[in-house]
Amino acid sequence: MKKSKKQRGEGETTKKLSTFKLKSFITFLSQVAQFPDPKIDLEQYMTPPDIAANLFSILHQDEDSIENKRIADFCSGTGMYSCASTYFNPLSITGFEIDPEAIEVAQENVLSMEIADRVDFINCDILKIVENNPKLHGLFDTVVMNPPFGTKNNEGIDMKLLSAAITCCKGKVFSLHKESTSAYIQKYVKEQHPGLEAELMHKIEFDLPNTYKFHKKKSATTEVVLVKIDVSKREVRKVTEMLGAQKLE
Amino acid sequence: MKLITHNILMCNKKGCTKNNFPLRLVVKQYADYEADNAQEYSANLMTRLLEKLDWNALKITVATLPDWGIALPDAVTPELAKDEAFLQSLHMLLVRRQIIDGEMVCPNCERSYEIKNGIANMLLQEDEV
Ligand SMILES: [Zn+2]
Repeated sequence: MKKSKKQRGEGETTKKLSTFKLKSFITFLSQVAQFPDPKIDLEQYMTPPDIAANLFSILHQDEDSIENKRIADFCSGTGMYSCASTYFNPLSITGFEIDPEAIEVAQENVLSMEIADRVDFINCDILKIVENNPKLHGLFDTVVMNPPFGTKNNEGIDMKLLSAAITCCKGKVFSLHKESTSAYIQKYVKEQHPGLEAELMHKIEFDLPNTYKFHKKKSATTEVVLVKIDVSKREVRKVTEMLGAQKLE
Repeated sequence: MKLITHNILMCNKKGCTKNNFPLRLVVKQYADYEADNAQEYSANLMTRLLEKLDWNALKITVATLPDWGIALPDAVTPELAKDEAFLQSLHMLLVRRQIIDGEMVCPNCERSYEIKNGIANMLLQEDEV
């Protein structure tokens, strides 16, 4: 917040989106096609275009985490976050997704939206590829993620993915989680990644509309929270620890 | 799929941990975006891309694709990093060129990873993890 005030004071550099630009952003994201046949075991649902537009406006204007950044989109699904990232001129975007059918839809999306040059999708099991490929560690400036909430057959998958995101990031991780799990996430990050903390940024009312056919009600609302983890703090800590060690010697 | 993505992929089959990078790139089809339709060239963009690049892996890979007719220098000297013509040619190679169909083969275990419709398939079978 302080930062944007300062920027406004300087005049030209404010990144705040006008209402008009936000509307065009939503229209742009409305072209992202959904999962044609969502898989229950992968808990596939898509962030609605208006929510995604608002989220990415925040990531751009308040967090400075898109423009000129190397971005990873974990659990990229049909590409909503990758497409949203293209709006603010990032350095590159890499989408990681396990479901071949979702990734094909994602590829069709970026082709028809004429942004295929900006996004590369990799079909992979994120947990496996991160474990076995040290090249990915600390590679990305920003990792955005909409993981499965880990409530059905996937218990704990959201936390494992969050750890993988932290591993691959050197800037900031942004991840959407169920609001009810936020205390657990904060504890988990503190314990598993000493020096880092999970910051709860925004609460969002999420309609999960007809995504799964077995939902009896037409739509179920879920409280979702945007979690931020500033991984660059880990580096600072390492340096201070080193300095501390030198002093002791 | 762009070369900058190939540049970060290694064989991730269980037990294959040495000599598994860079994957040997076999290109069956590629396409070049027109400059107007691709991410816009700027010296800053190229400098930032270069910062993250494993140059040696890129050089080795491009050398195995003789029909592309591109020979990269051994290293990017500070002078080259400011050379407009050099950066423009890199923009062509790293930003505008898309690999549509092909495969990436592990130099160690020969596992092949398919590239289809521009998507890299790094999924492993159950007995490979
Ligand atoms: Zn291998």
